[in-house]
Amino acid sequence: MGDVILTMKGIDKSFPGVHALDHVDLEVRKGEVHALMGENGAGKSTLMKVLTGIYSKDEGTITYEGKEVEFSNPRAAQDAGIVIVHQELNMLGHLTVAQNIFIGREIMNGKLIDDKKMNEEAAKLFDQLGIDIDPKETMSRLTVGKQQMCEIAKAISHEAKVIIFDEPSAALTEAEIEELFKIIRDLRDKQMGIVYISHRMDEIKVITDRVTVMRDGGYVGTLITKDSTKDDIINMMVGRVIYEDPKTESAVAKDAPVVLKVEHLNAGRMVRDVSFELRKGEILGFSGLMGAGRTETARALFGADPKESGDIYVNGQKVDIKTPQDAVKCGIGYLSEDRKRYGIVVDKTVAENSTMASLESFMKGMFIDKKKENQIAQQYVETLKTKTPGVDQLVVNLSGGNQQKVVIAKWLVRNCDILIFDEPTRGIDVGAKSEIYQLMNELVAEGKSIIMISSEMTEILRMSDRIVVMCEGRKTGELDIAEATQERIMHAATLRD
Amino acid sequence: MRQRLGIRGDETMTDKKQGNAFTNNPIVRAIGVQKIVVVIVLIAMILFFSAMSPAFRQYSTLLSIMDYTYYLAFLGIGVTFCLITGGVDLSIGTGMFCYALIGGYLINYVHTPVIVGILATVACGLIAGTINGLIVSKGGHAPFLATLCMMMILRGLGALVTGGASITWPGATAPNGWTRTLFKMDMGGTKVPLGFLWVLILAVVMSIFLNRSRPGRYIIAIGSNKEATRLSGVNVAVYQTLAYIISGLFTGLAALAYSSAFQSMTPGGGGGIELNAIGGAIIGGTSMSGGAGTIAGTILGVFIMSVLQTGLPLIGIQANFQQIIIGIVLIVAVYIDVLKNKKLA
Amino acid sequence: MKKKVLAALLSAAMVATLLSGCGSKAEEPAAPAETEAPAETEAPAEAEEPAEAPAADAGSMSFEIVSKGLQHQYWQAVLQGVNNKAQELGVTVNFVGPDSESNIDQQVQQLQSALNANPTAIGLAALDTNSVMDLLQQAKDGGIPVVGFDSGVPNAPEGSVLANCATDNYAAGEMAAEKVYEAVKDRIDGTVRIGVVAQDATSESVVNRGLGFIDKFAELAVADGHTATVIGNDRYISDSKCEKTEGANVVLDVRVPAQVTSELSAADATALMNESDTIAIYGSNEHSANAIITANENLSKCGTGEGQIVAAGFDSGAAQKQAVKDGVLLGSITQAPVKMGEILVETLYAAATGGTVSDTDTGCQWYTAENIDDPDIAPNLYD
Repeated sequence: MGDVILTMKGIDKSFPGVHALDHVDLEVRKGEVHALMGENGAGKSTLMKVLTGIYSKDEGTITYEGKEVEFSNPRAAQDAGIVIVHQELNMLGHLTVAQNIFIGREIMNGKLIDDKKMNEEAAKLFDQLGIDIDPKETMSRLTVGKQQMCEIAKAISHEAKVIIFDEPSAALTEAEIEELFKIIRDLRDKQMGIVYISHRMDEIKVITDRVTVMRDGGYVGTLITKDSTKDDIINMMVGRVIYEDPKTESAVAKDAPVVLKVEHLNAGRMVRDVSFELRKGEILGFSGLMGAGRTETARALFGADPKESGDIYVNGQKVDIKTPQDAVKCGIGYLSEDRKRYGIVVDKTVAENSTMASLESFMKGMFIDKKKENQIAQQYVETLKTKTPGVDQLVVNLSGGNQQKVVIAKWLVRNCDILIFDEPTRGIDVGAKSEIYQLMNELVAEGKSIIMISSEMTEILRMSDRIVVMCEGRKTGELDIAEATQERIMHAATLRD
Repeated sequence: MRQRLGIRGDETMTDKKQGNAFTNNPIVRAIGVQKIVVVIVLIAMILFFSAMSPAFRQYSTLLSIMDYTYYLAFLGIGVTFCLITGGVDLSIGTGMFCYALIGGYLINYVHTPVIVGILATVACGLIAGTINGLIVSKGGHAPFLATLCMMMILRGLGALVTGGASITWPGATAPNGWTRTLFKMDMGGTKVPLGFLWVLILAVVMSIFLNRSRPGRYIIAIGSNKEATRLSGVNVAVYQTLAYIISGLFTGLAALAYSSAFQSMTPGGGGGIELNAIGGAIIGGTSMSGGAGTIAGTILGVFIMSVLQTGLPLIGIQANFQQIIIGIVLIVAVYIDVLKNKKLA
Repeated sequence: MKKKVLAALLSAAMVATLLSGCGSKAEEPAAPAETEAPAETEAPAEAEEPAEAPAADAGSMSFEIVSKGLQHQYWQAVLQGVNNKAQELGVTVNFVGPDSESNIDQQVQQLQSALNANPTAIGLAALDTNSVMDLLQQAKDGGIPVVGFDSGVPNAPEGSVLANCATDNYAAGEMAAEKVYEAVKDRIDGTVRIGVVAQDATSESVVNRGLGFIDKFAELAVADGHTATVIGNDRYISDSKCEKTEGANVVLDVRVPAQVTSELSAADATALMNESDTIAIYGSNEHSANAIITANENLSKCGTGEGQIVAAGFDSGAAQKQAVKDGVLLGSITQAPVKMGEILVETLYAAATGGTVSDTDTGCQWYTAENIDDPDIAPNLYD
């Protein structure tokens, strides 16, 4: 490890209602691979966005190559030598590899683009990295792994001094990961500073020199990788402090009837042979890291995406769910993680959204009985304590928590007995969160059953009667709440085949 | 008239805190800011043309405006449903000519009773609309492309059926010319634009259908957020198809109105008229991106188009300049739509 | 471009259906032309009737005829004349035309196809002379005789078009002007406007009928001591021989729509008839005459009485004939389309057999409520 090249000190950033970064420190040296770890929502991405000028910081200093800097946009950071290799690849599939690498700063020959020169330059870059890619190949024909290599080539072509890898291995095969690591070690040996963001504990041990852990927007500490154990890191990530009272035992009777049984569900890469049962009056938590396949499982179950195989039983009856209509007929309601895209119709009223799934019971002859619609909507506004000036208010004007209540109302109006809550409290402030929790508890007390997908550990431990843990499309653990701990869940969530 | 149509304002998404005294006025909010603006523009246009041309002030000009309004209004009502789902129907202009040619051909050359010609005209619209709807909803084609192809097919079909000949529908004084009196009735020497009554009745019916019926509600919901609507357990394909069927049906009615007002049509014609109708709908506040739109707004927008089409030649503007002016009006209307969407985002 | 190809394919298919339909079943109402043409005369290609063929090789002769359209009943009457004569001579004729008279590209393609078919001779009514220049040269190089008809092919390269069988449109326009001037000459008092509704400013026949009318009307007015000028469409202004006088008291106002559709032409006619000083209006083809009739339905201004507008049309059609009978139109000019079709095939035949051919005026007539049913007028009128 060489000299310090980048120091971020006391970085503080707030968004309306959220303290996203609370005085975070990060130090990167030349010739080191520095892991940045934390649970989903710990603030890793926000920190990197502050560094590269996507967000401006509220407090703190960034020192780069001995000078205090503040980049106004990612381009400025790039020009200074700080580049990000993104998790989602920003590739233009129809263009060639070389054209992608030089996009926005094409090598010109007079007024025309000099493709020949660009191909030569790209070939030099690949030589330097020791990878075998034809610069003239069309980008979309490369494997995901090769595309990632191109992203890296593009990054170093900026004469990067600091490279940030944002979960680079998420989509790669074992062999590709090996190749990636080889390149990362090469870059390290060339005295570059590397920030490596990942969830995968085993990779962290293999590739990184130091680890900085973040939790809930705060800085927890920095460790030397080879001197610390996996458990040390996990402990730092989950923390010792439990903010909310976790459930200690299941409230569901052991002999409660099974209302939903899913067997060997397969749907694409992200849902592989998933089986589980849901009992009456139960909250079944689905835990796992981002991209573990939980939402995909829920969507396949609901008929929103096609499934390849698997059997579904509702109240013991085998059912064939091909479309959301079928699922709704079986009494299943789905509250999407992305409310604005999939849950509500933002420019329509509370009443219209509430009756969306059950309009047929609001008909008076040919016409919608608007009086009844408003009346029922009003009733649910009151039961769910939705804060809205009236049922004729457009949903776009409500806060996140109240929008969520409108979606809940939609399924309650439909009288669904099985509710899938996908990240029910995402983007909702703390006060509204506990209201939603209370509501969920009331619903199960009334005999409804809930599948709750959540990336928040505390939410899982507080609400669930049982917990299913997924990793990379497979179910990797199932824990009763009595035996569940953050550590056990995190272990299961990082299990690879 | 606007209030009788009973349409909820399309501007209510403006947060109460943001608006000014005008936009917060409950009456203004109930009618919708855009429609009020359109009415003001319409009145201003009428005053302008009246001042520029004495001829514009005559009763016969009202009859001319009405001749343009009937077919454009029917086209506009139909295409509003497609626009609200977030789609578009480009086949309506050419379709209108094609259906009128087929109906007129049956009457003139197959010598069927006039009523058969009328029913055939409307039926052709229904069939083409259904095909459009199925291609879009089941086939998953982009509405723009699907209906553009249908436009080409209908253009060829009209020429094929009539053997390339132009068709003249029976004249007002001909024994079987009673269809024309449905739109323009001669009452003791005074011509009465009876067609406006039909436009009004159908506008009210379709407005209630859009706002009060289940299919209407789903059509609006699909345009606002198709995926959320699908995940609510709604069979979106059915209602998307329905929007195109309605568009086809009203194109058939427009064909009757056109042949009643202008009598003759040539195969291959009618292209470009769809843009006048779509323009009218957008001027009236229907969003190109779907989810918002009212029939009352479309009727008002169509009036802008028909007043322009009648007024511009009367003040001596040459044909090519008329097209340019109408084009500019449409650009402004679409720009307003873009601004509205920005406000939402 | 694809649109045009599709249109061309469709029209080819259309003609094929038309011919096969008529050939096989006499009672089948396949073609609008049926009203005037007994179906059995429409079988140009039937080989089992060689009896009347005057030349031994007539059966192997094929003529390609590219008209300006098939849509107006006028062209159907030409087609009828063509078919009559073709059957009489025992030759094969393929008659095509674009979907609309604004489809210049499509017509060029049809002419190209006609050349590719390597016919004995070609008949052509060009929508736009300039765009067919190269193809005419090709025909000349290939030794295929070309005969113009209807509007013909003005300014064609020397020797490429052997003759024209056409109405002298300019003369026909002049005839309309004489009749209209006669009806309104006593009402020219102060500034008056004479409206001209023209379908387009590109087709030679339409333009010549307009120019003939304008020039003759101006000439007659000037002869009576008035002054004249032309306003409106630029092509008509610049090509008119009328000496334009500033502040003239006879104003010839020419309106041309941006697109050939009924509602746009009706708007032009309405605007002209709404001018307070308009005393006469002339529509230079069936489309334009229909536009005047449509406009008059709202305005009720046409007639020969005091303060009414004298209207004159061109060609025929159900609506126009009715309007002439009802007195809405003072009268109208008709060409002799059936005769034109016959003369065209005769001329093509003569050219193909090496005979000498020369330009032929196929004639025109002025018809009014009085003479509309006369035997020398009626056959040239169509519904």
